Amino acid sequence: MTLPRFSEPVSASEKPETGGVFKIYSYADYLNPDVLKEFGKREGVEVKVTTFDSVDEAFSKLSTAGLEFDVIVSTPDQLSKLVGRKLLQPLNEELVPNLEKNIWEEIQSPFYDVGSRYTVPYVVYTTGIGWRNDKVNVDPAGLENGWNALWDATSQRGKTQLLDDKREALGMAMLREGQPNLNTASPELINIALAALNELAQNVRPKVQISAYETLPAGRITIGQLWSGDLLSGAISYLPKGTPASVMSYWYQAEGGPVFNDILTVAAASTKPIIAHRFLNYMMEPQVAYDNFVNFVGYQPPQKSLDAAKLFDEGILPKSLSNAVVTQEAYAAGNGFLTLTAEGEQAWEKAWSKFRAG
Amino acid sequence: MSAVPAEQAATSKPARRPGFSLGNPWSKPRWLTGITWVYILWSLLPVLLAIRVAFNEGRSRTAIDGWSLKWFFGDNSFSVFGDPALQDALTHSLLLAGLAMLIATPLGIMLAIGLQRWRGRGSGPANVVALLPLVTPELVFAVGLFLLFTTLLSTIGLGTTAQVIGHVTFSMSFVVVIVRGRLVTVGPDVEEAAADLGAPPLAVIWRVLLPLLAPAIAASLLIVFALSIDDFVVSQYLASGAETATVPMRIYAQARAAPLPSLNALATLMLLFTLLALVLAYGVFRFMTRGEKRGSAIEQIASIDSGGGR
Amino acid sequence: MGEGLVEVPGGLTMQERRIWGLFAAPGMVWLGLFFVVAFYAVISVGLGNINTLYQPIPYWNPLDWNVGYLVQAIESVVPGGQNWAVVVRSVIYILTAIIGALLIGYPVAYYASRHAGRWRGLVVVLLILPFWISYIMRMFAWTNLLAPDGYGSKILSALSIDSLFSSIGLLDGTDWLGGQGITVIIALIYGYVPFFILPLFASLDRIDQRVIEAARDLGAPPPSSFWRVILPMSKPGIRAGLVLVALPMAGDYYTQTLMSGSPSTSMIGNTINDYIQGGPDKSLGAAMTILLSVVLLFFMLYYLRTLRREQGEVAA
Repeated sequence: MTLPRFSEPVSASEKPETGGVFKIYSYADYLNPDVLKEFGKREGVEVKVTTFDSVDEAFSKLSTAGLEFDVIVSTPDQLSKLVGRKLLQPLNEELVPNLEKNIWEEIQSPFYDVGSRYTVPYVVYTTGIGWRNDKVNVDPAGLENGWNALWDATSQRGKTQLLDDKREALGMAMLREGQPNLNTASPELINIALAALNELAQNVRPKVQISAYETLPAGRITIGQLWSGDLLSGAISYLPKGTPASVMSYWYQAEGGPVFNDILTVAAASTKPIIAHRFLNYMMEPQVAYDNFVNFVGYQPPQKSLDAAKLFDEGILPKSLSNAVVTQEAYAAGNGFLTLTAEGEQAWEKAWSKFRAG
Repeated sequence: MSAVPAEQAATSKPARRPGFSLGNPWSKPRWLTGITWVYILWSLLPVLLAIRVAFNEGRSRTAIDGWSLKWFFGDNSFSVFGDPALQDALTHSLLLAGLAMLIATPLGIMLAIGLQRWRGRGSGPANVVALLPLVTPELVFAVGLFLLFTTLLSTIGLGTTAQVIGHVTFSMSFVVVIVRGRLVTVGPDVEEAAADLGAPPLAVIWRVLLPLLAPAIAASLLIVFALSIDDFVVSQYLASGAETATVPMRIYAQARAAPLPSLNALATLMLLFTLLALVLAYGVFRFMTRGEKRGSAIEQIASIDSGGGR
Repeated sequence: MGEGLVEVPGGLTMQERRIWGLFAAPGMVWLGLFFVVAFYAVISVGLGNINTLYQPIPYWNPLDWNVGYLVQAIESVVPGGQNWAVVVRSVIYILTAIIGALLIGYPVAYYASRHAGRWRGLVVVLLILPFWISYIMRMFAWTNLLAPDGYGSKILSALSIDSLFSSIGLLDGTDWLGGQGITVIIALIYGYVPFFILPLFASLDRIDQRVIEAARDLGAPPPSSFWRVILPMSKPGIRAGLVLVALPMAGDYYTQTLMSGSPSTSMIGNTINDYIQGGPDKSLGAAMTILLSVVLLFFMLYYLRTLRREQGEVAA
């Protein structure tokens, strides 16, 4: 869809702002601190990251609490709400040349933001099941419906994770029920998904959180619904001494499973719009994107020059987790979470809060 | 939360009769002694262990693992003074506590003196309002302030100012309880004498009452500091971004994942500041009330009961 | 507190009494704005509306009030409603936790007030300490102890307490942090029992030793003097202490998140926190807060009344 512009983008001829604090709103541990430090040094600003647990929480705080940031990390399904609420400012494409230069062609003008009026892509990911193969013996790929591996993990009760994200959690339940439309507004379909989640809560008792990139390597979680980048991030930064990365395995539904990307946006309230544009552009520099990915975040940037297969071959990333990166083909064939209709949003939200109330 | 009047422990301590003989059924039952000490161990050992882990050499936070100060001062980015986020949290906690202390104490003292003397229409509800924050669940209180600062007072908005206001609001009631307790101890005699000698009311307050209240004021300052630094719910609801995160907020956010001993180190530092404030409060109180009838200062502080989660 | 505490110094004119009212003014204005009006904001949002982007629009004028969300909130907490299970669970958790606090706290307070002898000072200090250690830090300490490789889990396992609890159905498996209701309850007891012990200690301490001696002199054996004299005299202290710890438990959400994190142990505080902080349903969250406050107001006033009566006694 083409999003409306409510104001003019900042002019490319303006001088960059100087000094002060540059504020980013993001998931926790989702940006490499060294990369941020380098950016701060380059632009002469102090970079501070404020974290949120879910994009719903982020939207709710941005819109009611009047929080002010320069750059906001978000997901495409939040985009029309963010734009509708005038929380974002339109981008000046002259200030983000790296989009065209370095990013996969299919995301240069993505369907959720035709012409990239408000967003540039950050990283791509799939949603699947991650587990500790030294503690639990499962094989989702061998099942007719791989998601059942999580529903069957009753022996791991209490040591499991469900993503704290209403779209991901209910969406997974839909796929497990063989219902591929992740953007349905149908109350019946949503209720079927809710029932499946309740069954999961009953039998497997998952923790509803997003910290498995720490808790899976630490062994506090043995199996759970994870984002692909969590496994690589866990392998890069959080494995205890003496535990090899090969104890972690990952599976995702190759056809029709969630594959998507997160986005970087410039906040309407930004007091440093030029630097914010420069930050977006900076994150799309091949070397920066590489450092951010390989040395910390574990989520892969959609960079033309990045050859993920080579990273596994060279042992820079653990080979056992090679399915935790997203190929361009998989991305193109992916199933994503899109903006819901108003009724749809309400129905999902209602089911989610019902689930959270146990 | 709240508030057993400060005096009760002191005023009516029973006279104890010495010399109960062994085998006397009135002597203390052993099992009570046992339960009490087991309880005390249970209540304090976990915290002591968490402190010990802060001094670990290794990364484990579930087991004792060598000795070092590296999680406090290490030059890597994982120590309290190496990780800007942890350091900011500590600074911000101290800032909030300092401001809350300086604002809540004078407001609370005036309120206590006023409520003690003021008779007339409105004084009844005023008394209830002054004490209600002590018993209001912190969540209700925090939701109220959150909605206030995001609607009617959105010009103030969330952030440090809102957090200070929140801390002042709940700790002011504690000051009222402490100061009123002291007002009861001091009694009206001295003031009346001063007034009878023709001193104008404000002079009575300034020259007579305030010096008499000094121990309670000192105790209030430090107790507000301790309440504020320990607070979690109000700080979290009124926070606006990374620069407004406090130590308890950091602990809460990271405890659910797999944190490093630096989180224990941060918690240890916070505890150190709280206890320092309390020991000071106790010392000052003892010093200033020396020579008075010996109500135990410990029990006075004991009786200022505070609410959960704070 | 209030009337009858201390006589107003003699000879004050009405005018002088009003001056004292002025003294209270700054504090009252502060509390009026940030406590009373803040709660009014909850009412205005809960009885307000939302716009098309799910943003709450408070209705400040009572004539405009819209009861839709309040009705929705009430419907959700009656049997069959979507929050019914949470309400039942919260009541069970809180009741169990305050009974636990009573069983642990009473003997401790009793010992400290009457039998600690020369250890009294030390015991009182040690009982006060937890009070001033941040609640979050005390919970954090337990998340380390109860981790599968933590000392707590190991001790409990060595004593076979985990298998004992499993066999009677209180614990599912052996992972104490794996979404277990019992862990949340124990954590609540651990967290709040200090707030019960100290007021109870003060109230037991006030019982005049002479009354007990009188009972003894009249030939009452220790157990009966306990049951017939001390316990009845400490009842108001017990009631007040239990109310005092039940109130914050009713608004607690962090204990559950830290010790379990599973929806199967959610409490009412979690529900409100999710509505207000997590998602778009702020109006519903505000309506739930109104409901909770109405239920708790009775207990809050009960406690304040006890407090006032006790202070009246002291002054007399």
